Amino acid sequence: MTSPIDKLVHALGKLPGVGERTATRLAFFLLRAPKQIAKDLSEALKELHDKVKLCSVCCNIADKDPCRFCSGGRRDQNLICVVEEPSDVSAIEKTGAFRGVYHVLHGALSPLDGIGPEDLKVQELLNRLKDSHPKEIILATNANVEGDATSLYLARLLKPLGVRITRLASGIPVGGELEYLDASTLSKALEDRREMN
Amino acid sequence: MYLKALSLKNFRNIPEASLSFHEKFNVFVGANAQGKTNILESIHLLSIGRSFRLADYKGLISWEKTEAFVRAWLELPIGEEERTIQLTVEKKKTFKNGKGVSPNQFQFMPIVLFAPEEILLLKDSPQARRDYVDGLLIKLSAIYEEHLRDYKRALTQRNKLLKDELIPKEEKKKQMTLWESPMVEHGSVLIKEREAWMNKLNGILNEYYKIIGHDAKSAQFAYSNNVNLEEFSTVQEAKREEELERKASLVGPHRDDFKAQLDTHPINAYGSQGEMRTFTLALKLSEIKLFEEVLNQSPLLLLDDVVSELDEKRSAYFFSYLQSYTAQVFATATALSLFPKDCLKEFRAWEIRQGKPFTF
Repeated sequence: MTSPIDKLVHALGKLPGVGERTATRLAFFLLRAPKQIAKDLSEALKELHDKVKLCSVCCNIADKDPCRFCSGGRRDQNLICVVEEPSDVSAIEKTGAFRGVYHVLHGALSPLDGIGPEDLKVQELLNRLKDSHPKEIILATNANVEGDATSLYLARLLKPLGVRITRLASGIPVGGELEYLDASTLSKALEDRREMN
Repeated sequence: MYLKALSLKNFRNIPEASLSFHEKFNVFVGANAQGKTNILESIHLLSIGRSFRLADYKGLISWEKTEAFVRAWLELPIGEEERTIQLTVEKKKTFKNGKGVSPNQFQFMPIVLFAPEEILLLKDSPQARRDYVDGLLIKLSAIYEEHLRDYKRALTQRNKLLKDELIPKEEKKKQMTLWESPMVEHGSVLIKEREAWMNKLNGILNEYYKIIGHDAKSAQFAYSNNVNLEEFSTVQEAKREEELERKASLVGPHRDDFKAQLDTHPINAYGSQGEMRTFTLALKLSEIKLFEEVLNQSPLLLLDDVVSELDEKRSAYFFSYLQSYTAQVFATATALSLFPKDCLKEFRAWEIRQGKPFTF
């Protein structure tokens, strides 16, 4: 019979960034630490796949369907912010500056990784737009080559629908000092400069 | 700016070494395969952050060792800086004055390397010449590296798409265009920068060629671009069908070349061996001059076995150039006697035997 320790080490070793040594250390920690720690962890793990779902509207991970953004009528359904990952939603939520709803693509276009439009939640976005008619869609994919290509793809796809499409601005971070900025960020900021009133 | 001292541990075949340098001229002599070039390589690593011989730094760690150190003390106008590069099998770490930093926080230390392989550049593939020019422009232009990185990224994505057998042609056509706009955006910058810098370089190159070669021929490292700036998008559009057929992107600065010419004749077809050597030397000296003009500072020179490559005419010019050179020089040679006495007035020399330096 395999020892439970070996079994745990083997399972932990499959996590990203965890090698066999770290896995062994973690396993022995869990063995020696108060039982409650291991119990909490095992319960959290058990619940993970049972209780976490994708919202059928915005494809964000949620504990209920539709998620808290898409239901309850407290958010502005006229404004959809399209992001690559669920973690991007958390990042935007932290700002407290956005009152609209989200759409999570779960990735960006990247032929190198074999990711095409059909691997992203694009069809879900189109289905969603059949029923609702938002005023604006904000493309908030990452400001790199793949994020830009994904936004361009969506912009072309959504344009015939007649909805206003915007792209997140890129440039100087707030509190950023010009002298420490890299050249391309600074030149992007120059390009996208705006009128002062 | 100059390198005051260098300390190495488990670097290539050097188990441990501490060297304190002369402000101007430093020579490493010894038989082949003793470790002379390894010292130059470590200085290059400290300056650029990577080796000139290896893409993967792991090969720099001594055989059967897990960790290597390269540490240097630099005299800068603002004071002394200690910089360390620690290489382990997992990662490369950089430290400035004992604190962990990212390598771009190092004060930029311009360096020009002369290596015997460089004469091959003229006969080599366009890819090798593009890599050479890219390496140079990354150091000279503040914006080049990021645009090059993003251009290559978009290009690789587009090529991967073109090669994918599973995606239907109509869908490919739609998606191809997504990667074209970043290619045009970043590629245009590359074309503009290459044009401008090669223009500058060629003015200087032509002068040096005339002086070193005692030759009135006009020398050019001519920029031959695959596509003109104004036509980039239209040509790209026109070639889509052919690209789908050949499964590769055919339009853009990734297919540029730089052609070494004497009076507009390609040197690799019509030039003599001597003309090619003169051209290569003139090219390197132009590189130095560009650094001096742009940074207002002479680069450190790394001369890897250069003396054995020069004939009498060229070496006379080169050594007189070195004598009046103001920045620090590091050279390797099989014997000290290869340098003329005039060159060795103020210098320090080491003999390298099996990875160990012995002072003369």
